[in-house]
Amino acid sequence: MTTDMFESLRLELRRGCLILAVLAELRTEQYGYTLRKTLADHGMAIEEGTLHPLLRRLESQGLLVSRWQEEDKRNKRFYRLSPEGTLTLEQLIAEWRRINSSLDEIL
Amino acid sequence: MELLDRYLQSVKWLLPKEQKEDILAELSEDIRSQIEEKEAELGRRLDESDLEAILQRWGHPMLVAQRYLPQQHLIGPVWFPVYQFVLKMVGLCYLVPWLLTWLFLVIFVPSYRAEHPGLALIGSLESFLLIVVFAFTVITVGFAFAERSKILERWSPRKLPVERDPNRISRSESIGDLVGNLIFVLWWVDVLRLPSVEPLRITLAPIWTTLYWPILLVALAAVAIDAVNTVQPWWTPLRSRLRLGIAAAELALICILLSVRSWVEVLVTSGPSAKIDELAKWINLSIGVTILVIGIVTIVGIVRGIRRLRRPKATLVGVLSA
Repeated sequence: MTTDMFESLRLELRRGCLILAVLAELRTEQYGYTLRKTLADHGMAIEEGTLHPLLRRLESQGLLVSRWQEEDKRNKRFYRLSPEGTLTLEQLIAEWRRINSSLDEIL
Repeated sequence: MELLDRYLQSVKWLLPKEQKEDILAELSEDIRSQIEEKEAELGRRLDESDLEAILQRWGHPMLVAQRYLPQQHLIGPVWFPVYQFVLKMVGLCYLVPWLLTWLFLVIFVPSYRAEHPGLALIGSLESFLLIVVFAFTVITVGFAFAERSKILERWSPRKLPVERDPNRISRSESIGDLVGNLIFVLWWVDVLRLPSVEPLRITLAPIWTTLYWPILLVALAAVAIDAVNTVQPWWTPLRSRLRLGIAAAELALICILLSVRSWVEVLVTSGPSAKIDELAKWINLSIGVTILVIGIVTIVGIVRGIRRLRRPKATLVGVLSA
């Protein structure tokens, strides 16, 4: 398999997992930069230009809420899970565990 | 920070209007945080190449902005392959023959070149270019409309086309070919005569006399194949080979016919000779274009015949046992 093809399959595989990871990380309020660093520290690195549009999309879907807040004399946009997001995250985690155990059996 | 400002300005231009400032403030903040962290790590202010590396990782401004925009396309991935196929078909079946006809006129018809000297020859392609633009626009608009319609949601398996057997011969096509070839043979052996239009008299050029028997034999062979195909409408290896042989003979005759410049002589009992010459020129031109079109159709037939023969044998036999 070529490296390009593997990379494309890997990205496809990660895409859905990233949303789950972002929602899970946002149980605690964070702003974009720290969120990206936390994700990277946990082995879920995300491209610079990808995270913010994803956060906006999740917010427009009602899963996140955000606010501007001053920190270290700079305005930063902080995100956290909305009540609907919390509920969705629980459902997604349950689904993830189901998929994971099915895959474990298959693999 | 000039590079950063330039970068943000380029992203801003493409962002959705209502969120422009908000998105830009957030992006700017994120990049600045990254810069600060890098400066802390290096223990110095970033130079232009450091900043360039950071911005490179963020990606082209157009790419960054595009991620904030709703996905838009004129023709989506579902319709695109069909769109591409239709464009290719129109190109192959209409535009290529058009272009070949034009090339034929340019190469073989001196009067056409005389009427379009120099750059005017390229100018004579104007209508072709208009047809290209028109065909492309109509097809694109049609597919853009289909993309936005709910046509794919209203479907039933019953309405899907019947599976096409590549070895089945359309009976109506065979009958059409048979009738056409029969009429030609009858005319060729002088049983059928076209009504004469006085004072016009058209006589065939000597090339037709030279090729009288080969043309008759090829036409009779085609009549025989068409007759068998009408009764037994499927291709067998033998008939496929015979049809291919006939098509090859047809092509050879067409090449010989195209090697001359005049196929008929026109005689008019009265009228100015300049007009008679003009008339003869246009009649010959029409015959030349017709022979060329028949040649193209024959080549297509040969290609199809070769592909039919190259198919695995089981496919040909399968029809016979069905």
